[in-house]
Amino acid sequence: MPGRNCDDEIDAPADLSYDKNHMWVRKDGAAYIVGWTRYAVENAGDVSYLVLPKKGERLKAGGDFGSVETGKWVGRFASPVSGKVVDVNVGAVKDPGMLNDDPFGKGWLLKVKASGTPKGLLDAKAYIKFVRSLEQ
Amino acid sequence: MASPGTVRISLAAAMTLGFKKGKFYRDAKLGCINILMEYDKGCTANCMYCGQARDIVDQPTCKSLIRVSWPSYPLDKVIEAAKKAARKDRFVQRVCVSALTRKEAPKDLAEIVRKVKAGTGLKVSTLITPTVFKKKDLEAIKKAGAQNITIAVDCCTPELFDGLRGKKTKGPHRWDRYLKGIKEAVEVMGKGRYSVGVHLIMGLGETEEDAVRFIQRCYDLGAIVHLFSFYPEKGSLMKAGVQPPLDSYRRMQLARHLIDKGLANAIKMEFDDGKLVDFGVSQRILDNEIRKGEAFETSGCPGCNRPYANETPTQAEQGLLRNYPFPPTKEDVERIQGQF
Repeated sequence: MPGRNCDDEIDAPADLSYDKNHMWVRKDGAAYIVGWTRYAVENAGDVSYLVLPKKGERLKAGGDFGSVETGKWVGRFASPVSGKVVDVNVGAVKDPGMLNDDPFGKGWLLKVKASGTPKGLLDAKAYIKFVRSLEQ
Repeated sequence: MASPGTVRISLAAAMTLGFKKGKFYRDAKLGCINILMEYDKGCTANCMYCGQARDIVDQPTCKSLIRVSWPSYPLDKVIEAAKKAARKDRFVQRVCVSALTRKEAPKDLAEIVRKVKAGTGLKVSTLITPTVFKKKDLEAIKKAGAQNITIAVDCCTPELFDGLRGKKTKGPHRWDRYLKGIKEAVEVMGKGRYSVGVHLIMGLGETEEDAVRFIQRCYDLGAIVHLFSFYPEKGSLMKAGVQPPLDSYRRMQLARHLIDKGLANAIKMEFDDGKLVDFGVSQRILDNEIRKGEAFETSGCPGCNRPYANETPTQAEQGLLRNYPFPPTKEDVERIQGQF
């Protein structure tokens, strides 16, 4: 189970890293698991359609990958890491509601074998501060 | 749960009223809060393209209509939230109440209209079916405070109507009654522009000529046409259907717009094997009206814009937006010009 943060309103588990595109990253051996934060998914609405890259595709940090559609909105994910996609959450593609139900768990998106150490990531505390700045 | 105590509202309305979280693509905003009446036993009609058709919804658990969910809320809560939303953003200017085909609907609709009008002060539109709403019911709706009455004829020929929502579907609707209903609504509401509307869905099997002739007929009767593009509703009997070609839909939007503005008449338009090939106006007028972009915005009661009701947001992102919920930008117009 992901570690819980101490913020009452913004869910950002303490054991994850984040970026300003509302992606989360969890180190998993030599790879990184990537997902979309609860703040982002809740503000987007109920996810109805998800497009993710295939295994083997190369991602560039900050570059687009895949897209997410809710009832009235569509957007693209931006990769928090550079590297090669080694696993894709096919279950979430089939049941995109997983992103709303469990964004930090079953609603993960990709596993990426990074080509270097991800740069510019935020810890949970800094991410919460960033989100609060958006709300003001 | 049943109307008038509770009602269903569109996802866009639920987002606008703060009941549901969510964003609109391109920061579109909703101008009209759409309410749908609900009953434990659902709609008695059986329209093949509708997610609420009797044969597929024999229980009120099917919440999908026009692509999205329609959650249920107490009417009083919706009224209070609509009032607040309109105070916060004047873009919200209207509430539209849609009736189901049930014998109790006329009485309940009048009560909802009265409460919404009194509780929000907003303009109120109604979407009714002449199958159960007789002329006296339309008078009651007007008296309750409705500014508009709209009739969803949807199909533009008697054959299509009969095949998709009439006798052939074992549904209760009849073409002649619908046409008479338009006339009755005009008599009740007056011929003032925009007080009576007719919904028309493109892509149900009609030709462009069928559609244009019907649009003109509605205008000649004193009603305006609100144009929709067919979208295959999940779970509906036409779930495997396809949307009308975009070039054809653009021609219909433009033809409707030209007729609406009094710039053209179907009599002067020319068709080749059912396809509109001459709008009957000068190229200068055509170019000018396309450039202005208004023809491609959502058509409906003033303020009604139904964001992403006829296409998915992904289609919109791909430049396949059918009804623009905001004035098209210069780039949008350039894209539209290429779609003719």
